[in-house]
Formats: sequence, C-alpha cells, structure tokens
Amino acid sequence: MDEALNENASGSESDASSVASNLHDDEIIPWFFSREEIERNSPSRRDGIDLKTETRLRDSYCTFLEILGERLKVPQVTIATAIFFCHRFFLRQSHAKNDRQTIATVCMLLAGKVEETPVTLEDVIIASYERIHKKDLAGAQRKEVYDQQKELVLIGEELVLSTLNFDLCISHPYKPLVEAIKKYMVEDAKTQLAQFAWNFVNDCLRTTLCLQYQPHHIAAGAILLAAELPTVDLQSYREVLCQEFDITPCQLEDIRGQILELYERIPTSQESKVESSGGVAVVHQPISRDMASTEKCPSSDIEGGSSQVNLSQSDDHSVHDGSRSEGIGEVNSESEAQKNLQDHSVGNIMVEKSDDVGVVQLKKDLQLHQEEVESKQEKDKKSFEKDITKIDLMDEKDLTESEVEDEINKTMQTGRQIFMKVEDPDDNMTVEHSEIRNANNSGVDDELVADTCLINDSDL
Amino acid sequence: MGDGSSSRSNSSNSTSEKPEWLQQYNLVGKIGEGTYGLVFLARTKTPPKRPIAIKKFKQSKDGDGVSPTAIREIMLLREISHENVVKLVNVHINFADMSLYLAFDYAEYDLYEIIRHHRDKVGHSLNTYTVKSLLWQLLNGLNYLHSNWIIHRDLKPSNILVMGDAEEHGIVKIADFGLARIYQAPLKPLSDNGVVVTIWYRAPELLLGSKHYTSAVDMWAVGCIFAELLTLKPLFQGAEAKSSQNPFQLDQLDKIFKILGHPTMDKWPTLVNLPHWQNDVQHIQAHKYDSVGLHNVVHLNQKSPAYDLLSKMLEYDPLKRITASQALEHEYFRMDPLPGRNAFVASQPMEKNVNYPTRPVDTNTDFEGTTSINPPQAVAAGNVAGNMAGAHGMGSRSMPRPMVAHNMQRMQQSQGMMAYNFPAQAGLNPSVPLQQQRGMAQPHQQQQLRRKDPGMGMSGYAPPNKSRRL
Repeated sequence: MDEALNENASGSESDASSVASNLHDDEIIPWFFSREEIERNSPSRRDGIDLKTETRLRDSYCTFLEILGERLKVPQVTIATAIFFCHRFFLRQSHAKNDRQTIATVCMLLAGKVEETPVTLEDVIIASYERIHKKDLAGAQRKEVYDQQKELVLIGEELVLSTLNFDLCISHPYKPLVEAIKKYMVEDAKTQLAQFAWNFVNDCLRTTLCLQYQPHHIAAGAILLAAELPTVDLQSYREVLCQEFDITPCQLEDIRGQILELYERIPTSQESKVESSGGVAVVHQPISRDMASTEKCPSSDIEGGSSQVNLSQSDDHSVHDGSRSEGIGEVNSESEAQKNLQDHSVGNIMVEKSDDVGVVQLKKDLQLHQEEVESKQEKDKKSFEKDITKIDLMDEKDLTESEVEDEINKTMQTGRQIFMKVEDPDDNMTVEHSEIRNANNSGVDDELVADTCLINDSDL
Repeated sequence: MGDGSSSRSNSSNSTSEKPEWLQQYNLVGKIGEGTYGLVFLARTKTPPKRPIAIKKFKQSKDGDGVSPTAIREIMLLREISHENVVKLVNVHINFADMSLYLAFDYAEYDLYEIIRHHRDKVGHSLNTYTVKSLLWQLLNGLNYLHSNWIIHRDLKPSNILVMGDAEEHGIVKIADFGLARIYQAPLKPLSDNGVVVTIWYRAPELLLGSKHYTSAVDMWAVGCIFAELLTLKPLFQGAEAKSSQNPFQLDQLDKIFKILGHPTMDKWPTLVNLPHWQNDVQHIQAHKYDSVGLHNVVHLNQKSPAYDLLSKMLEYDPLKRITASQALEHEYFRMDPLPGRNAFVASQPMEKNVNYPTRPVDTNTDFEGTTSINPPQAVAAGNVAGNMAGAHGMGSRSMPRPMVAHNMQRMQQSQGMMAYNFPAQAGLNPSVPLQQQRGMAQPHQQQQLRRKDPGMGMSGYAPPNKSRRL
C-alpha cells in the first residue's frame, strides 16, 4: 500500500538523490547528512556558487534573522528555529534561484507559528524591509510596502513548507545542554562552563552542524569545548559526555572542531605565525592531552593546531586590522560572482526542481506575479532603474556589513573567552545579572525570565 | 461492506477547475465543518479504494498565511505513528487560495455518536466488552502520546474515532491535534490564544487557574469519557463563563464538587498555589456541598476494579492522578471480558452486537464549500475524522440532531473477523519506532518530567542567552 505523501514524495525523492547517496522510497526525507555530502552536493554548487560564497550567504541570512528576531522581539528559540528552517531549505534549493532574504523572512514567519511566538505578517514584512533598506517606514509607506510584499511572502510560505516537506518539529541543543550541566558538572565550574557552552550553541547556529548531528550531540560538543577553557580534567569530561550523550569520541571531536572552525574564519597572517611559538607554550597541556587521548582520530592533530592558532591570534591586536582589510578585499574580489547572483535573484523566487507537481504550480503563480510586477515597472522606467541601482548597492553593503558584523562577533567571542578565563567569582556574579538583563532586553516573556531566575539561583 | 458513496458530486464539480492533487480522489461530499474549515469524504481512485477524510484549512483569519493550527497539527502528526492515533496520509496545498488540505484515514464512527445512538435509539448501555476495549485502546494511544511528550489537551468523545472499514473494524483512533502540544516547555493557557474548547472535560487544576498543562489533564478527560461511556451522558455538564481571559469557571467546578466533594489541602497539597483558590474559598462559605458520590452517579460498586480505576482518573491532585501507563496495567483490564482489538465484536460474543449508523454525507458541497443545488433535507454536520477543534459549541451539543430518514444501518461483517485479546502483563505497549531525526529523551527523564507539579515552573527549560558579554 502506497501511503506516501504523493505530492511531496516525488519531489522528495528526486531532490534527496541530489543531496544524499541513498534513495529513499518512503515519505521520510533524511535530514541528516555528512559534512562532505552537504558541501559537495548542495544545489547551489550546480549553479556555480562555490563553497566559500555559499558559506558567506549562510552567514548573511543568519545575521539577517538574528537582527530580524531582535526587531520583532521573539525569543532565541524562535530565531534558532527560523535559522534551522533556512538551513534545511537551502539544503534542497539553490541560492541562485531563491533570494535568501525573502526566504529568511518566510522562515521567521513560519518559526513564529511553530514556536507559538506569533508575529504578524505585516510586522515581519516591515522589519525585513527596514533591515534590507536600512530605513524606517512611516504610516503610508508601511501600507504600501506591505501590499507590495504580501503576496510574495505568502507564496514563499507555501514554497518553504513544501520544500521542508512539512517536517516542522525542531529540537535544539539548549535543553539537553542545561540538563547535562545540572546533572554532571561540579558546582564551582557550572556557571562559567554553562555560559561558555550556551554561547557556543548560539554561535554554531551559523554552521551546518544541525544538519549533521542531533541536538544532544551538538550539546555534548559545546560542553567539551567549554570545558577546555578553564583547563579542567578533559579526559574525564570526554568519557562522561560520550557515555551520557551516546556519542562516539570521533563524533565528539568533529563537532568540537567545527565549532572551533567558526572562530578560525578570521584569516591568518604571517604575523600570527611568528607568534605561534608563544601559543604552543600557552596551550601545551591541552594539546598533549588531545593527542594522548584521541589517537583513533587522526584529525585531532589538526584540531590541536587550530586551538593554538586561535589563541595566538587573540593576543595580537594587529591581526584584527589585517583581518579587516583582507576581509574587505575578499568582498571586492567576489564582486563579479555577487553581481551574477544579483541578476538571478532580484525580487524573485524560483524553485530548483520542476518535476514536483506542487512546485510547478507554484512556479506558475510566481511567473504571473512577476509579470504583474514587470508591467507596473514599465510604466515608470526611471523609478525602475533607480530601484535596480538601489538594490545592487544595498545588497553589496549588506554583505560587507555582514562580514564586518561576523568579524566583530567572532572577536567578541574570542575576547570573551579570555576575559572569562581571568574573571574572579565576584565579577561572575555581576556578569550573571547583566545576562539576565540582556535576556529581558531580548524580549523574553515573564515566564521565561522567571525560569531564568530559577535556573540561576538553584542550578547554575 | 457496501459502498454507500454517490457520484453526483463529480458531475457538480465538472465545471470547476480541479487542483492537480485532487485527481487522485473521488470526492463524495461534505461530512462536517468547524472553526477552521470543512471536512470532506473522498475515496482514492487507485486500488484499494480507501475512504479518506480531507480536512480543509483556510488561510488564517488574520491573513497571515498558512493557519498556525494546521502547521501545528501537521508538525505533530508527522512525528508520530501508532495504531490508536489517527493517521495523516497526505498534505496538499491549493495555491489558488493558499489553503491546506490534510488527508486522513477515514473513521466511520466516534464516541459522541456511539453514545448518542445508545441513549436515543438503543435504550441501554454499551456492553462491558465494548466499554473496556474502547477505554483500553484510548489509553494505549494516549500512553504513546505522553511517552513522546505530547499532550492532546482536547480529549472528548467527538475526538475519539472508531474505524468502520473491514481491515481495522472497531479500532480506536485519537484525533484532532490542533491543540496538542509537546510539553517540554511551559504551555500557555488556551484562553491566551482565544481558543474555545468544551469545558466539561477540563481538569480542576486548569479550572482553578493553573498555568501549566501536564499529561494529567488528559487523564482527567479520559475519566470523564469513561463515565460517559457508562452512563451515556456527560459527567460534569457545566455552563462556561466566557466574560474575560481565563475567567473563574464557577459552574463547572460546582458540577464537579457536587459529585466528588470539595477538594481539601490534605488530599491536594498544592491547591493553595492555584490562583482561583481564594475566589473559591469565598464562594464555599456561601454553599454547602452534600456530595452525591461518584459511585452513585455511575452505578458502580465502590469495591469494583472499574470504580477504582475511574476514581483514580478523577483524582483531584494531578500528581496523584493515575497515568496512562499505570491505567493500562490496572486490574480492570485483567478481568474478563478482556479488552480486544475490535471494540465492537468480541471473539466470544456474549451480547448482541449493535449496528451503528454511518455518518450523514452532504453530496452537494464541493471543495470550495458551495452547495450546487438545495439539498432535499437538512443534513446535520456530524463529527468526522480529523475532527475540528471547537466544532462543538454548547448549543449544538445539547440539541439532538435529526437523523437522515433514508440512512440505513449498515450490516457489520462479523464473519471471519478475528479479534485478539491483549495479554494482561508487563510490556503490553506495542513498540513503535520513532522517526530518526527525533531526539529521544532519556527514559529516567521521561519519568521525572511526566508528572510535573503544575504549580512549579519548567525548570528544565532554559531561556535564551543570546546577548554577548562585553
């Protein structure tokens, strides 16, 4: 008896074959892949978007969603769910044919419904538009923008739902993280370690880890990485984490390495290499322990080296200046690819697969909508030309700003690690309160704030 | 089993443009409607021609795209698979009007109609075997849901379906997950969403203002359903106050206290933590309760296992209320007659089988909800597979529905139907593998969290820690 979701199943099968080596007959899309599979088989790759560009695009929509979430005052879990939906969407659809900001806007609308932190369509559209165009909208302008964008976003919602195959039930690493820390960590290390691990979980939303590993495995990797900073007994942590989270040492190392890699995207310069001898001295003990305890994982040598480079960079202020200028250079060097991308994705959503019945129908709707837009624009060519120029400039600025923001975030994260490392207990208490304040500012509702107090008072 | 479908609906649809996904179905007609849209009966064109209930979700009222209720129902049903839970067969999108269609395996009966049939037509109670089998299967499905951290939150007779087709004849299906939730995080009161659900099955801790749902609220509802199967009328039939957000439901509490007696802090230690308790204390001084006694209402011997099980389901303290898992092990299910897979036909029938009427079908309504010609008779909107939340207001519940005169009772195929009894021993629950991407909670954590004190916050849920430190 064929009980598959007929409409989605055909699309699922053909799409899945382009992402995974195995073809699945039933209605379940395999949502977990190896990193190699994700990077090699991405739909964007076939459209000439290289891995580096796709990584930058991923950073871009993650930043976009974080800022959108702050504007809309939704909790972190909703932002995480929206980012997760976006990752899965671009696992199956190409960046070349889907504007990432429109898709991200749709994913935020959808995440609000799934996580029961509803945001109105109007608010999402306005916040998205204001973010993209860097200006606030007044009353009459709001309505005009809403009317223009509404149909596009609603069609996008159907597209995203179909692409995700209605697999909307999402778990995040936060809960297993908190439970494990409460249960296993010694009292004096809890606060420091928990906050490090929590930040790692937030930051690794930008990676594809959630497409490779289950949430509790990611939590284990974050805890392991956090445990390294205070220089505690790593071997016992590894054993506890592997046993509690049912994860192998190799998997644990892989997750830890991928989180670390996030902070290594700052390009290395020759100066940092000169400083590396000092780095070796600083982190000698952890590296030797890594090597001794994980001989079965050849990549651990690379991880050790990465830790060394990461720490040495943070001690050299001049590295940051160099990194910034090099980052800008990279953006400039990618301008041709970016321009090409812009031509394909301006105000338009196109689907990757044409053999999906529903997607075909959606494509027709989009074509009709696009024709309407074009007919309007023909009436005012000057306005049209201005809009194109504006969009081009804004998009490039958006990417540039995204790069700068990413760099700032990484620098802040690195600096925080060092800062936390040398903090005394009194400062910890002060910082705890500021964290609660930050949680309030991020729009957490009263119940969640109360839960924060409960956790901090009794468990952390 | 005869095919009662009519082909008139096809001719009435011939002029309209059909969405492509509709080609795989033969539409029979409308079988119900509720808050969120219409429900249709259709049959698959490809063999075997299965009856399908198609539940239509219009775009949400706010015009904010796909209905959040539809999204949540799909989200949960995609995660679960169990013999006693309704099966979501397919999801279709109609891009023309941005509506969603959820296709379910069709179930011919539901407990509301079965109880009503016994009350109005048969004139006597359901037989012991049928009551026990229906209850066991309901608990079996509910135990599966609770083991996967899902609270249904709207259990009532109209949401408990029973299959009519030959292959699954007499199997119970829990339906309507529009209000169901995964409860690893604090759940807001339903009134926050403006959702109206039947108050008769609402647990006392919710009536007294508890802000936290636990799986115990479902068990209270099961107790009410159990009593209703025995007596053929709702156990606590109160009138709902709808004045403000989370109003004090005095009348519903009255109905409960008159039967079970007034709760005391000795028996319910966390009672003082409930917001409306103070209001009730004031009210109590004006009223004096002479408890009728649950055993007198349901006509059960106080020493019988059936009464013991029922009273444990209707325990005031949610921490002490029996769980679905515990109930499945109760002595009531180990006595003869043992519960069976076919709730209608026992393997050793001792009583005459009752033939229940099939659902009325409005064959003049197409997928857009328009009626092409005036129906010859008014057809009542029945309860349907994939029942709508809020499909029953108080008014429609209390008014008897006219039966369609030409509706014939269907002959049940009892020949060759092999029912089997579930062994009354440990490991009773059928094992259903979960979807691979769903993270499994640790077994001990499930035990710890399942019976959370409603007065406490969910301390396991950590708030976001998004901001960076400088």
